[in-house]
Amino acid sequence: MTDPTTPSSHGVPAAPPTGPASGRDDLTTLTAAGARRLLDAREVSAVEVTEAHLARIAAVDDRVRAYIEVTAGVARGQAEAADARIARGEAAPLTGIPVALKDVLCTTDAPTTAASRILAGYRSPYDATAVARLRAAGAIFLGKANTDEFAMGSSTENSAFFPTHNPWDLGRVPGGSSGGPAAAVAAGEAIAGIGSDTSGSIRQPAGFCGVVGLKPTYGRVSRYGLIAFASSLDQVGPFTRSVEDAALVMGAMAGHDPLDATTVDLPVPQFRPEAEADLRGVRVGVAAEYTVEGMEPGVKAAVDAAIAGLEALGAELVPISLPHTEYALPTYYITAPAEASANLARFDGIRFGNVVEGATLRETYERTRGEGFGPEVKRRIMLGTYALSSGYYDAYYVKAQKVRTLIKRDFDLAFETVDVIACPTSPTVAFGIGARTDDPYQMYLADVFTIPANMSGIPGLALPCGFSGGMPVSLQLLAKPFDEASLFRVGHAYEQSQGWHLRHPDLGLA
Amino acid sequence: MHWVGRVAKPLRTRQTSIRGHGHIRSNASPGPLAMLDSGPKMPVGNEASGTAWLRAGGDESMSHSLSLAEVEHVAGLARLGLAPDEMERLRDQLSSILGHIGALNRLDTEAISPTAQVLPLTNVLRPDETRPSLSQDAALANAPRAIDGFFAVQAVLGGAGDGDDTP
Repeated sequence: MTDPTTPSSHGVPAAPPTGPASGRDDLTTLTAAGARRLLDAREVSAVEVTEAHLARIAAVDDRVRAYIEVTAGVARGQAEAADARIARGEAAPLTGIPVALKDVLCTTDAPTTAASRILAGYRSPYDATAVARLRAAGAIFLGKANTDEFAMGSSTENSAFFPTHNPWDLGRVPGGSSGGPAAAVAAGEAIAGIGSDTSGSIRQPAGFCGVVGLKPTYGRVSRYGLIAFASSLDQVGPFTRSVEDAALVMGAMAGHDPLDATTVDLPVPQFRPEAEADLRGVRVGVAAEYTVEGMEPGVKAAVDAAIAGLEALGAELVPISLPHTEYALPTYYITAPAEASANLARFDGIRFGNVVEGATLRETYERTRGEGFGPEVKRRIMLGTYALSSGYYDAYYVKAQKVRTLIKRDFDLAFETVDVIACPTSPTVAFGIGARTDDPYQMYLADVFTIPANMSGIPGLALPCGFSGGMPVSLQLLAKPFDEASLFRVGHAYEQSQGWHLRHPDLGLA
Repeated sequence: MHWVGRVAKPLRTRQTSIRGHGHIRSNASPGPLAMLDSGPKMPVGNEASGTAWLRAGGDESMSHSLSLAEVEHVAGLARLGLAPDEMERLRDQLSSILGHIGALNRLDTEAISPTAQVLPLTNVLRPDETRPSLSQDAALANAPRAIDGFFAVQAVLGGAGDGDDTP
């Protein structure tokens, strides 16, 4: 295919060339695998890598606002320990790699707020399992990254604290709900980010920010210590600058956890970049339901070109049908709020979180929750409580569960004839800040292509595949449950043939 | 306000146009992205415009508007204190969202079993053994009020307005 440093355009308008050649500090454009090589060769130290990222945060985060809390002290301590570990020859793949943690992951050494007033200042007494495993691997925690409140949103505008800005265009949203870690990775403020994906909250912001995002299979990564939103859908996963890195970071977090009964004891796929250079023998499903009217033309052009690129690498394109795709969004907006209304019942101002006391216990509950939760959280608690209430349970909640069966069955059937499915991550590129805040359903539509994977539990990988109007476009690859290995193989082959992942926004600092 | 014995208002369903199980009706629906193509944003708070998207697709079964009393009832169930203007806004927004969700009634799911979770796991058990846990101090560290090693809670029984909403 093409020279990896020169993305082929396929007729898609190219963004201004930026990247390593733009003069940005090389240490903040590294992949985790690239940093690993430099660290192991002792060409740089973990302290140097960490200081470069803290300096980058100081330089750009007043405009990007990716972080709720920067934990420089924690990071510096971890960096020194990482250097000692490397010196002992005991480095793990992520030892010395700086990461941004979405602020719905519990951490003992920084506040965990879920970007909500009700948890402002909350300090968890334990680490999330994903966090504990990264900590044990020697990763560096740069800080807690912004999110929509309780991960409910598609733009990070629902953060109770402030919106995050898209590094490619500060007037646009980074997507959401994991907009903070996505923007941090795109802006050079972390080498990797950790997010959570309930309806696309890793893949959609990864797409909007032009980085790689992976939602692993439901059951692959422990959700213990992830502040629960919708427990049958939530999954923890990485943001990275390459598919290889996504595999490395998932590998560091994945596996059975006795503290999360939904984790599965299956081998975690190891990434082998040298294994298959082309895609001969890979069957790629293309569903008519994912190329619909109303899609942004530049997005459709880039995704069509990406699918043609897969074919050029030797993959066989197979037309498939996922007929219930359009029902995933309305199904989600019953199932997720119903589960959220139950999960968020724990925020009562008694055991943790901020309290607003009233004359009676009931009044205390109502005032604590009424003043502590923001508009989108209230909207979903109300919607979910309504769908679960007497008289509506069958009409809404059970109905949605039955349609969920149909959505899952669509994928089960499709994966009898294909190895992966290729489709857009989102129907548009990142939209303007404020453009959709007045219309909840319009906002929900940003997740229309990512929700089906959550409803069916399958893994999904979002990776850069071009630009539309100067903003990144993203290709989504889906695979059968626990077959992340196919996503890595196809994603890596595509990525290396195109080089889109080598583009970085310069934020005017180059 | 008393809600016991209240008659549920079921969604109207389209029993007549259904053939087969769980397949989309044959008439063209606008697809999930029709709204994105509709130019100016639809205002929220106008139930008629909120459902026009679906009605344009030939489905008229989804009009469903909430009353303020229903919003108040649901807020009570959720122990969510809402200001009057929030209730009105939520009535309009929830009505609009429920209108979109009504699209599910285009599917016949009579013979379909529900999916609550996607893993083939049942009865995940662990050995019944004692394990380390948080200390009492750590467990209480985030409590707004603690007394003598316990979480402090206002009186539940005995007082006026004690939180029991059973009529």
